[in-house]
Amino acid sequence: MQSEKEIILACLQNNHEAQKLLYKIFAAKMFGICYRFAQKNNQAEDIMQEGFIKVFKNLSKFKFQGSFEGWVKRIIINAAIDYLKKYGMHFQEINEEITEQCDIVEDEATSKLSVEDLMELIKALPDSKRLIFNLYAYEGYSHKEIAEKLNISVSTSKSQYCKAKKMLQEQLINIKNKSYERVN
Amino acid sequence: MSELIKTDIGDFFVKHTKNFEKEPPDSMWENIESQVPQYSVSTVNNSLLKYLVSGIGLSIIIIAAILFYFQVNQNKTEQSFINQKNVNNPNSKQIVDNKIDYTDKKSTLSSIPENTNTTIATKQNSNIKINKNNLNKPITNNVASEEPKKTMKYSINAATYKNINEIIFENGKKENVIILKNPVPNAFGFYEIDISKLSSGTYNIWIITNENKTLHKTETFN
Repeated sequence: MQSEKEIILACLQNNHEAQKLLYKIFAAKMFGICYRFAQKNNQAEDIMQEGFIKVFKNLSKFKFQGSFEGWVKRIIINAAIDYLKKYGMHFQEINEEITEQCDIVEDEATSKLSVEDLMELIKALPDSKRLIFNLYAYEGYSHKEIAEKLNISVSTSKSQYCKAKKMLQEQLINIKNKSYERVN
Repeated sequence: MSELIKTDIGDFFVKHTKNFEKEPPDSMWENIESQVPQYSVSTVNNSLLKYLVSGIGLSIIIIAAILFYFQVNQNKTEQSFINQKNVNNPNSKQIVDNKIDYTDKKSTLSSIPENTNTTIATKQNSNIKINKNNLNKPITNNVASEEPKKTMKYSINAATYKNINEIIFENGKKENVIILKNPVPNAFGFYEIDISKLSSGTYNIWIITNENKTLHKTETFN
């Protein structure tokens, strides 16, 4: 069994089998990320394709310092950001910082929700809110880093994140209520 | 009743979906593969290549420096050897003497006694001989050299005769004025006879060998 380094070096030797293998190793995980960032399936595929092309174009620059998966993931996320920016995502600048606590009670209703159901709730968010929610909650970016990356203010990032959580919370409550109504 | 757990919405979604994976469509790789660049070999292990090139370059420099050092040392050794050789070689010294002590031989020439078997090198004479010959005269075996003031020598080429017992200068009165017995040629292959005390006149120069007596020349000295 080849190590990750051996596969990468083989890719750089124009070994097509190694290149396909490298793609297959990370395809499902990275497509899951793309699916989370995109609103529709075809958008997820576009982001995935652009992202992996960049991975292979920059493969020779990888210095084998740090995680290769992390390196690929950063490229995919940047591809997602570039894609959303390109297709008209815009932010409503908010100077007032909104920090409302948004909690959910995990109960029987919420436990019945599948991963795909939850993913659908995320995909239903508006582009700007979905992007910031992904960057802050899933990828661990700070609001300052998000603000720099998206060229927005920190308060806008915080507000958008809070609003995203609010929307998700409302969606979950609706689902719970519907579930209770059925029972009753 | 089960315990109700309140969780931040963000944390709730991450907790339940962070490991979400989804297989992309099969055609995805075909689209990506068509745009994978062709890598040049030099892109592989660039840093290793850089170290390799640097190492080779450094090795070449070190080897060149070592060779240069030995070359310089060798030249110095050869030069010192040559100098030593020159010091030890009498010929080289003689050559140097020929060039430099041109005028010093005057003192040795003046001290040469008559009718002795001497083999003192008289370079000055030979030089004067050559000069005199150059004055539109054919080169001969024997030339009278002019010594400053007192000493005059007459030279006969030793190659002309074998086993010379005597060289005799006979004047017009048939008197043997100079008799040189068992002459020895000098280093240049010439018999030198001191004729300083000969008075002006014409002389027969006889060569007596084991076999016969030969009239070498009749010379007139002024």
